[in-house]
Amino acid sequence: MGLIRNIFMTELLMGLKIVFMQMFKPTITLQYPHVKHPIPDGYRGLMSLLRYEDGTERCVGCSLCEAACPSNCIKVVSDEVPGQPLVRYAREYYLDITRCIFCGFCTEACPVDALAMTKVYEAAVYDRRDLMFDKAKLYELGERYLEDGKAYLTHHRMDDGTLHPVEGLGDNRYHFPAVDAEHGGVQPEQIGLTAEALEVEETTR
Amino acid sequence: MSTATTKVDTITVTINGQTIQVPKGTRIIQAAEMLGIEIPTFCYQPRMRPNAACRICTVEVTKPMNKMFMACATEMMDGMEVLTDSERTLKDRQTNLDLLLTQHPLDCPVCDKGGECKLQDYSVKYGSFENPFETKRKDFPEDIRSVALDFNSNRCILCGGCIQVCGDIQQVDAIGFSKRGFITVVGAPMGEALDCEFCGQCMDVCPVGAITSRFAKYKFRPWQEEKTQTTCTYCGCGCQYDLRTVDGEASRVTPIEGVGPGQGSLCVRGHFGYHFMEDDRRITRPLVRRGDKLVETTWEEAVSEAARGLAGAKAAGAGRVAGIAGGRLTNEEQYLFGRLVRDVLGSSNLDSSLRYGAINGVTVTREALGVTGMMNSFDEVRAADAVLLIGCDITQEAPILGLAVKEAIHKGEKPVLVADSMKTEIMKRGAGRLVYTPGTEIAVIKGLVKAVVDEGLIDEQVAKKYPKAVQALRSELSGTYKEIETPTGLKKDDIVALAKRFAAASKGIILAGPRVTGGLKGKSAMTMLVDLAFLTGGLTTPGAGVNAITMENNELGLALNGMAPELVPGGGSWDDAEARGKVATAWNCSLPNHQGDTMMEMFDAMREGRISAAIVAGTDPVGRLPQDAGAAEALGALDCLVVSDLFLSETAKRAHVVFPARSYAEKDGTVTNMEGRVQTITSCMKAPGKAASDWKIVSDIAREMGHPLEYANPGEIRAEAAALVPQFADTDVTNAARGGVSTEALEAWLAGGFGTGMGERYDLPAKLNEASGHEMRLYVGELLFHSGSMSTYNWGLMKINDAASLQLNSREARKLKIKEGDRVRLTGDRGSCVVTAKPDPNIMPGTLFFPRHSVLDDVRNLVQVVEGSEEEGSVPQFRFTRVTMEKVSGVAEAEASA
Amino acid sequence: MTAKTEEQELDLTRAYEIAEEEYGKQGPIIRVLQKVQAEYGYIPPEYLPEMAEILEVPLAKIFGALTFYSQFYTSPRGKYIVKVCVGTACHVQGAKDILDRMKDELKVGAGETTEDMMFTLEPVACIGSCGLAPLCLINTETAANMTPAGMAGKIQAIVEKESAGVAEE
Repeated sequence: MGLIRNIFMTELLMGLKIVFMQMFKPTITLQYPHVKHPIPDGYRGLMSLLRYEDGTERCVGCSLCEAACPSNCIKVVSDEVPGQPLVRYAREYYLDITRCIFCGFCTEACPVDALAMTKVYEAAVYDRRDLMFDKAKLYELGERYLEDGKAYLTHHRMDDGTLHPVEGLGDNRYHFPAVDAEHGGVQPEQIGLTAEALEVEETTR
Repeated sequence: MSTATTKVDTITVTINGQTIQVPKGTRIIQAAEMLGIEIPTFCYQPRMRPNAACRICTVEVTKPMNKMFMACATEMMDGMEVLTDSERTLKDRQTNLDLLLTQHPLDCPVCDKGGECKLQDYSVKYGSFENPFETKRKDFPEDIRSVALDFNSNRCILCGGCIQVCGDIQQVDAIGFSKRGFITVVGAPMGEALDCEFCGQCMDVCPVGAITSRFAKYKFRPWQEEKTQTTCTYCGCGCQYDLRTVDGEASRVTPIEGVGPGQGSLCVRGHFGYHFMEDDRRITRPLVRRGDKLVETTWEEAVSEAARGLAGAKAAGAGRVAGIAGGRLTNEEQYLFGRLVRDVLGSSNLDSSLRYGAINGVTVTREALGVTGMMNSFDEVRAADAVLLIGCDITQEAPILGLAVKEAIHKGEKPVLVADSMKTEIMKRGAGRLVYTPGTEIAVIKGLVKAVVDEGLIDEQVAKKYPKAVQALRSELSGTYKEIETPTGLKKDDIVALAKRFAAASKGIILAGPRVTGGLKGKSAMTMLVDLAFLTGGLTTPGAGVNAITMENNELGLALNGMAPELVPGGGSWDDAEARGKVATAWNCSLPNHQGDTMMEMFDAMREGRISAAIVAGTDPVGRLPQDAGAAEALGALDCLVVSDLFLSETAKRAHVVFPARSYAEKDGTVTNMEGRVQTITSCMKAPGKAASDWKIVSDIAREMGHPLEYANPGEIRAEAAALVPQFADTDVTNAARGGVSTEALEAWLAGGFGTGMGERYDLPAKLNEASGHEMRLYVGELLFHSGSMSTYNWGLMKINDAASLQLNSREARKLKIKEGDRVRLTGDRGSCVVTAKPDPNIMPGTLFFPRHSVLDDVRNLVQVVEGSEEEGSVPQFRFTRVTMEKVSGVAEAEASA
Repeated sequence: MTAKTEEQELDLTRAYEIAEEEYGKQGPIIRVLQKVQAEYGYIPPEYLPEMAEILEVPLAKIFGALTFYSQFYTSPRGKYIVKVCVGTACHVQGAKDILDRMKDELKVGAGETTEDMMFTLEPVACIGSCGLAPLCLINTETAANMTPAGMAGKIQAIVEKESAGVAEE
């Protein structure tokens, strides 16, 4: 038996049989990087910061992402928006991608859906310092991959939809306390429980 | 423990099955705290009466009755049994939180309290995540009109803690509730912007984010902060607080409940004066003089130039070098500075900011009673039966001691007696008031002593025990009241009435301010107060006494380190050969054999060329003293002036070498407060540039001069200093706790003829209230918001108060048609200047007040300096002067400036 | 309102006297406020700082009491106080419509006074005669089982009476 197999090279033919069978099947290899796999929604790629439709920054600088980050790669420096008292924002925002473990906890912690992860996974650079993302870079990513961000937030809806109304990235705008520098707090004419004051009281009884 | 041993005033109670014995009157929350059981509360403050407003502390009592009780307000009964985590308690707690959360906005992410908010914490711990009640959120605009504090009424849970702390502790009642029900808001009355002392205590007690700091707005998250317990270095109170930093930048200051002299209270300076460390005007590199310019240089070059200059003067002859130190230095730095001058430079010309007045308070009590600093602690002031304040605007000059006095007012029948030259805040609360002509403190004090002697108010035991001393005093006070009434403008009956009230108290405490110790014949005035305390039993009764308050942070450290020509380290006299010998032995050197010059004498010597080099650290004599003192010319005449400071002060501008010094937040060490407490300061911020601690600067200079004073850290210096100054050996111990007045010292003093110069002591200076060509009396004094140079570098404090305006009596202003903001010209013997006027009802007619901190040197320079005699502590009098005031129109002013 | 106070400076001498009389007595705030209101018809806000000074009571406490109690008014009130009950029973019977009608009729909001200082419109929680709901009060005169139109008629009658009175004079 062994002799016949050796003479007719049956192993070879058996191997070639698989080769020829595969030749007529459709290929599944992609010509990466010319061709790429489609990435599912909710994929945890590079982080991005989002803006509202009108261009204002979503981030209110609450530092909750920083607190939630297990690898301590986020640094938020918050402040009052210059010229807009009581409006809070992140004056500086740093995200060290070299330390990021892409867990997405920060996006979960964000109360205003300012953080979203994109489908970008090609983070390789020549200089490690380029991986220290600052605020400008993160907003730039957010603008470029806005669709990814929206898809991410929709996919990862953690609650029943009330806290994160992300359909088409709804407003979810932060309600800052109003400022009335002239008449903050009690207004002088309200001393005597005037009309408005009384009506507030009535409705709440 | 058997019941037989149980004292009548203790009761046995059980909380969560744990039994404990507590004093009668203990409330549930206090007993729970003793057992380490936490009961949630919003409105309970250990320092205040229970407010019982928030109801979150409700706990279940199972014995003797089965009921829910508020833990903060319920005093426990014997045998009481309490459950703090029973089902019923937790249910109630949850309902309470649910109700609060129907109104409280969920804006935690942007709220500055987020992360340390009690409502947040309790909601997580005890709350439910499904609120059964309908939510109704308020939407009031946030009141950001006040400079330092923002009021967000939406977040307010109406616990009333802020109003209580404002009314009971700070006692200014600047805020209150207005309206009722759902729309109740906390704020300043009349719907106006809050304009108060800005102590910030309301913000500290606020359990939620309803009151937040404008200066720290949105700049921190509690979990990002690093807390460092340190000592406030603005005034002599020495409060303890947490300096909080985010990435090495100061974010805010928070008090520590129940710790230090303040027991958790802070004033505006302590609370909001944390910006100067990061000011751009800080000196960051050593500077040396090249021509008429100061240029940056290397540390090594600066050290070698300083050492060369000082060594040159030393070589030229004994006593050609002088040293002046300030209260900004820590105990260790002062000690080393003193050693540099006396040992390395071999000069006895060592003086300090004590000379601005505090020296009299310190030396009098030390010589007479053996106590350096206050003989009473703040706690004793709180418990006093009567407090007599003389020439002491305590709420401005030592705000936290002021709070202690206010607490004394709250107990019992307003026992505070105030004598001052203006209506101070504390005077308005006081029971007895004397308002006298500014600068006549000594006559008022004499009047009080005379009243005690004449009216038979002398303490019986004192009269029995020390008849000779009492007799000696009696004979000194034989004069009439006329000589007192005329200069002071007081009536005999008023003085007698005040003396009677003070003598009637069993625990009477006298507090003398800078106008007594720094006034004309300051030492005599202070000694008279010791006499007054002696006669009324203040020196022989525990809890009573006589005290001089100090103004600068570590002035007591200066005294203990012997930073005056008449003192040696340890607080002994230079005259005392034994004390001097001890120092010489410890330093292994021979001290110069004659007593050195005081600050004013130094200036003379500098002008005359007898002193050719000086080193100044932590004080600014040129900026502090009026031009008339001649500090600028004197220091300008030196061959070498070495200055170390944080900012380019007036003195530093005239220096040949300037070293950048570190602020209290950047160095370690200890400081001594006016009670004699040695407290630590801890570094928590990075010093800018090359700035170094003063001990390091001194050490470098000494090394360069070939006389090394090497230490690895301030702890080593302190260990060495403690051999001479026993007070440095232990921290946080007050003079009172060290034993207070030593009977031996007192008796020695009495036996030794009652102090020296008894004869002259009661002679009033002839020039008292002498009318010169100018009819107004100008007083240059302290404000609450600013204590001197450092505070003015705080942009926050400058925002709260940068007023460099002249305060004058409002009635007088009306007569002269001067309104707030009008410009007035002051003309004195030393020139004239134009300032903005501010009428104030609390200033007496004929008197003007100008804050000392002001950068407007012109007003300070109007003051004519009266040099004090050696018997009077050589303290220059530079607080009062006489001026003429006239209103100037805008046109006239424009012309004048043109 | 503010314009008025500028026009005629109010003589507060009597109010200061009231405060001085009560100085040193226990719990003077409400008593003084009541007496001042009896004298002036309302409590002029500009009086409060001086009152605090005289009584040596914190202004914040006085202001708190003043704004807490609905019995105190801080602006001058009309000759006729029109009270519209909006308590539960009256509400059910349509008190809201009456209040709205009154607002239109008098051209003022709730709690406000007409410019001629004639009427003050005031919604009140309950007068205590729920059997007569909806109930209104014009000064002390009760108007029971009211309708919006009925109230409007009453107001009209008063307006006519007042203008006639002016004409007679």
